[in-house]
Amino acid sequence: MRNLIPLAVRALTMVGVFFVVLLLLVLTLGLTGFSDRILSSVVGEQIRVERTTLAETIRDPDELERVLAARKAELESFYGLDIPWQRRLPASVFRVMRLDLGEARSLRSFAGSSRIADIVLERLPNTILLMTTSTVIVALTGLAGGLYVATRPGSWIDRLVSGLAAVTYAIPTWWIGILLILVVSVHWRLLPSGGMYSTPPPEGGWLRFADLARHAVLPVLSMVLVSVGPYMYAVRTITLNIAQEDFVGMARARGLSETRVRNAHILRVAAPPIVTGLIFGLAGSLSGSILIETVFNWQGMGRLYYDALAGTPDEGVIVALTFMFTLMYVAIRLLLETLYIFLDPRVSYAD
Amino acid sequence: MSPVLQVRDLYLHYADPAGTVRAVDGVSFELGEPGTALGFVGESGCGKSSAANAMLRMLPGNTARYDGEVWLDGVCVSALDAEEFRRSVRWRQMALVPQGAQNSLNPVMRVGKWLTEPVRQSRSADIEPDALERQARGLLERVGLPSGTWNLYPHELSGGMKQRVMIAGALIFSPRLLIMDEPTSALDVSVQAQIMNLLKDLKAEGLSILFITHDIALASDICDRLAVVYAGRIAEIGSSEQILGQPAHPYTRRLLGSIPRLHDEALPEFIPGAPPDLRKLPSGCRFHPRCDVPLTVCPERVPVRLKAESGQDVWCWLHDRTVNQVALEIQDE
Amino acid sequence: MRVRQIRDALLKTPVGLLGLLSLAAQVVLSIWVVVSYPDDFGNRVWSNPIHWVDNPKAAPPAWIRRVDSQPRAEHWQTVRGEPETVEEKGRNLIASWNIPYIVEEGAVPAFLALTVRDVRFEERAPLLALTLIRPDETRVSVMRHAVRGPREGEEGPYERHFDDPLRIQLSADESTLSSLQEFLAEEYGLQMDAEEIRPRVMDILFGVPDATDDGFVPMAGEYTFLFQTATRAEDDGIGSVELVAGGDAFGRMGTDSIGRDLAQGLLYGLPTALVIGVVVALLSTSIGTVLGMASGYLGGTADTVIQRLSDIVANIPVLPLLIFLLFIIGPNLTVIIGILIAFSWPGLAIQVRVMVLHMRSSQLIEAVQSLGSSRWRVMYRHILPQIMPYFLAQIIFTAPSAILAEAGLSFLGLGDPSIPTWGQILEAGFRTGGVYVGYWWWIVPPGLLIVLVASTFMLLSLAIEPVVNPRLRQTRRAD
Repeated sequence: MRNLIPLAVRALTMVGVFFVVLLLLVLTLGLTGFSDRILSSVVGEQIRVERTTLAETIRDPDELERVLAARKAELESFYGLDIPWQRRLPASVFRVMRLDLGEARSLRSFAGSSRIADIVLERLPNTILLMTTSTVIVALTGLAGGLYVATRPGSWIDRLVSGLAAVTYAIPTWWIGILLILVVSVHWRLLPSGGMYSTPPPEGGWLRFADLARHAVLPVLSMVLVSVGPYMYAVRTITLNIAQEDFVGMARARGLSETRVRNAHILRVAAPPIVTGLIFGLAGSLSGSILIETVFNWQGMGRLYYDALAGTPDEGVIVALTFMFTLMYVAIRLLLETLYIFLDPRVSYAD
Repeated sequence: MSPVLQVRDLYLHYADPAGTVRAVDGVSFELGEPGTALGFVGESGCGKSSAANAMLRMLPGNTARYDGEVWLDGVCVSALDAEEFRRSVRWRQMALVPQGAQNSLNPVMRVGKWLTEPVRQSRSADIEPDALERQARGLLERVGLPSGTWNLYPHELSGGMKQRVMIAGALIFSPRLLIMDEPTSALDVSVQAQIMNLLKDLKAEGLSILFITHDIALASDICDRLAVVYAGRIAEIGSSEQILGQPAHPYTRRLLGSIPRLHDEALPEFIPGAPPDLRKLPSGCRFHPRCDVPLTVCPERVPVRLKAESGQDVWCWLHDRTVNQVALEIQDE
Repeated sequence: MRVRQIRDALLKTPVGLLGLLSLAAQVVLSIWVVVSYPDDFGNRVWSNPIHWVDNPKAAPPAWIRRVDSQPRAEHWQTVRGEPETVEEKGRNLIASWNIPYIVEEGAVPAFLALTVRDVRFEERAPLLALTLIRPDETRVSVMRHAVRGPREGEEGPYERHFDDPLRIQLSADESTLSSLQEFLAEEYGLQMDAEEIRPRVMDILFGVPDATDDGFVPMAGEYTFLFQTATRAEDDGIGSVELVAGGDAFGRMGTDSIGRDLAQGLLYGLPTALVIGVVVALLSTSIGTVLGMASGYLGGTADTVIQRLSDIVANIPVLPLLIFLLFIIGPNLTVIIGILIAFSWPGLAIQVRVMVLHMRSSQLIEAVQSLGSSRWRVMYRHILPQIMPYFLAQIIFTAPSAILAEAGLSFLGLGDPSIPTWGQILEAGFRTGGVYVGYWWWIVPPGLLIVLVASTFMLLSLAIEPVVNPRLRQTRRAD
């Protein structure tokens, strides 16, 4: 299959990105001594667990301490705390990849666990929920709007979209979110200013869903507001350019209906560059969602950054989050690249 | 029997900030029997391609004036409404092989799918998919393409192959008339010759061809009749022998004089001046500023259709007896 | 394309001109801010709560009083030096300051504070007194205070309150409470105990008792604060006296929840934002250009390494990594700028390489090289000038994204605390809950300023867009 070669090239770049980030994480942690601290916390946690079990069998406190000290030394050498961090590097990489980063200082998962993996993974669905919802809305409205605007280039609505796209580049996503809170939640008291559910959350599936939807309106709206302009503009420009191409005129000359011309000869050909647009916007929307979750106290991984940075910083959580976001980014990128390659037969030669 | 194609007073003007572009400005001609070819010859920018678009009713957004009649086999197809015209005339009766074949194929559609698309899309066609594929593959073979072409994408084809795919595509409905807009201008000479031979074969099988080109020599190779076009109007129309042997219009003579010839001492001449701006056309005869034998009447009155001595129709005051008389008298004085 | 075309696009189109004028105004204002603000503004002034102690907390800007009908007292503050009159009374010298103060309808100040600085005396410590003369000619003795006398073993002349100003919060001062008690009894025959008076000191000072219930009706009009000192020696006296009537509206831009004057912070943010934008843009485009040129010109292994690196850096999700690195290295503006630079160069490096490869094969370059010009000379004389316009354009494109990125990081709490930025002001407004209680003056202006500065660069890039390859617009945002 000839598509596999360019796909492999792109996949390799993304795998490269993944490992460079991972290495950067581990190197920085090692160089600054964070790595030692994380491991010590892992050891400490294990010792605490063992102390409670051992305390039942060993009555003599001195004996208990001696056994625990021996056990601690054993664990330290097991985790490599007795060797320099450079030699532990491969193990550290592996550790980060499994999110085996010990316990959080003050953060707890919703279920009360203090394991970093629990805290972070529990938030993943919430982040995905917010990102997918807003991305789908942006994609649909951007596509529909862009196509509509492309039918009337030069009109006031076309100029509005172009203007909106330019202005968007100069507006911080999160500030739009704050303004929405200020106006819609505080001034008009229409929608909740943050969180995912009311307290206490309503009982019953539908009521609960409606409550979640109500809480999602503002965060989704802010993400849509800042992304839809450039996306619409890109769709418009791509479509307009393609509509000028010879093969579109030719499709008409061949007696095809306008619907067929639009679907098979304009949209189908526009699909790959539109996907490219999505790829370029991806890093931006990932960053946008981190900040929007923060603003709206949406219990996802983005908000967790803010919580982990406040007060006593939870470095293990921050490492885990950075890793998870990179993983998410690389995964979505690969998905989009695959989509692109199967949409555009020219890729295998262009690359 | 009615002629295959008859065009009467065809107009196509475009709106432009700098003035109306009179691309097709009252063109009338006729393509008589099936299996003949009419050449449409003129410099680039004289409105040849616009005439093809006008016949197919492919009108751009800035069309300012479009009228005239197009008759196919005795039916006035220009009277049909747009939807009916699209369904029953375009591609079914009149197919176009466009100028920019390089970019006229959908880049993400395989050749086979592209070829059969118009048939599959037309509601009235009850053709079996297998039969359609057989027919389309037959066409590919017909235009000299290997059967593997069926599964290729446009970027995998050479320029000549693309042009052949375009021709095969135009034949899918077995139309009466094929309009070819500079079909060979982007190809190298050997490919050009192959395409021309293919066209001759098709013609021999009864296909009528409207052959649009700037190359009068190439046109004469295949065409039974020639129409010389200047600035949106026909200057002269007649059989190839008449036009090449006894050109009646000064522009035609100039055009023929500009062809380089083998075994000829005389250098090819060029036509002085530039083709006129279709937005700011000269008054009267549009050729008069570049004409080497202008009459006083030329800038004043638009020439009417006249019969040249060799029999062809010509739009030039030189062939008007009364005007000539007056002109001679003036010269005598 | 030449640099001249870019200049024309900026100078001869309305959009370009607007952008340039806006930028010029911002630069002039920035220079003024840099010159007139203290060096250590962030640590010593902005982040120092004591500096803002007299200011009302979370007060809207003063001009709000013209917009809404709610009565508000504007925050009022005055400092006086030399006394207006000095007269001898017995053995004492009485110095007096008359300080007028106007109370508008219903707008009673929130608190009253007196600050006296630099007290000096030969033998006997001065006595300080503040009396309020009200519009109805009644006089309230607000405060009496004796400066601390000589300590044991101390030699004259004595100096007091030079480093630690004497600050009396009159609305909570015990001596004020007792003198108000007296005043109410004498003037209105009202008996109130100190604890009853304590919460309504300001209502009593600036109002008259209401006959129907036991409240007080604000009295609008012209008040005068009469501040007096009683000293013995000729050279005894005070350096300055300051009066603050705390309002619920403050200055041009209002205050935040610890009383900081937002106008000062917002102004200080301007040069910071410009520096971040310009430095990041300038350095990252320079790095990108140099690496791109090297990559395209040297070819071989260097090319491969640079291109692979650019590819990877260009595809890294920036914000998570920025957060991580800043968190580890510590919030410091130089670090922020450095990291932003480190992630902003690859786009141009890839593009410049393509251009260099293209130019290298051009006839001009081949001709010049065949005439014996050295590689670096060809680069400098022939290739660099052709890249210049893209270089300039890229600077303009990169600057706003750097400004937005810093704002986003500051908002997450990773801003440099010693250098206040708009992002940090927003962060403070968000973290302390200012958003949820509708402190719009704290939230809207810093965001608007970010948008203003960023859109100035956007205007410039819109102006030069037709000149430059539009593909350059693919800059990434990290906010």
